[in-house]
Amino acid sequence: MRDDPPRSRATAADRELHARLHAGDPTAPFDLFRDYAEPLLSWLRPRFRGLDSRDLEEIALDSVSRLAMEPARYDPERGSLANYLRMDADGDARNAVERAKRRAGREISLEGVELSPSARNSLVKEEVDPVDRIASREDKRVAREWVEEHFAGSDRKVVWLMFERERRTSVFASVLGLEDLPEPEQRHEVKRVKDRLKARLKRLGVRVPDDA
Amino acid sequence: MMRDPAFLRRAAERARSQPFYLAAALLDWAEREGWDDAELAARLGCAPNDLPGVLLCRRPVGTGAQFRQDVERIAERFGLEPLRLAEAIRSADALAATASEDESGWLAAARDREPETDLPPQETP
Repeated sequence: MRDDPPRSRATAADRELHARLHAGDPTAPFDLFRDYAEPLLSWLRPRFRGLDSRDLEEIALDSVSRLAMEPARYDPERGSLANYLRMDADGDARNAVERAKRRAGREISLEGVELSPSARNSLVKEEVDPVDRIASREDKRVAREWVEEHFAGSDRKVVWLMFERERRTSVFASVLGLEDLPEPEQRHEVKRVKDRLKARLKRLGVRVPDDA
Repeated sequence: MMRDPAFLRRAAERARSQPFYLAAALLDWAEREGWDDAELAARLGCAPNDLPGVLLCRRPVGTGAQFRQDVERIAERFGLEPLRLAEAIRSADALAATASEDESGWLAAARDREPETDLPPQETP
């Protein structure tokens, strides 16, 4: 792989290794791993910082492995071997990102999104503070920013109401669009949502009073 | 050029799931026998640092002549004794067969596999 610029032409080494793979040289897969896998991983890392390093390594290794097993996937006339692997791995990495986003959406988790410096500095202390202390801070803007960075949609509104020590079911029901449900069902659904979000808050390091 | 030997070893472990690679046969063999990498390398007669390279080679396939040619190519590349490598592959296959088949299935597999090597059996070191 070396340091080929993007979309560069196949090098003589690319062509020779591809020919060996194509001819079934049993040692060619090793050379492909040895020369191309680690540079491919180095290329991926800064581009997909949100992905786990082990996941990225597997993506790189799987791209190399696929080519070793199916050398016809690569055509030296269309560019360098390094670029082929980058394109292949890039597609896998993007898919991994999408899967992570979908998973995050289901879990109301914004993992991978970094806190802003101000929120991070504030939350160094807030991580062990109870909700009421967070909510009563002079700088509510920081708390709100933290909530906005960690929660989305109606969850964000519900969490903020909890931080505001709101107790009325009707208020939560309104935010959640449950006004048309009978009152017992509203209570049940609001409790379910709040319990889920309290669990999420705890995972984020915020101590939540039982009566929140 | 790969500079991290541990990375290459992890690549071999990842390749283990693909029967295409020698890693699939040899690492399973070592695991069943309870060997670590050093012991597997010793069985193959290769330097421990060369083990990941051997594991990342394509598994020898084909008819007797093709199998022998593949074995010799790998052996030449890593300074191995071809007969020893062939025997290791055959042992790995045999052990895998006994682990997954009943006795009659194993015997059938052994009969089918034996002519592929064209190599005389070698004593285990």
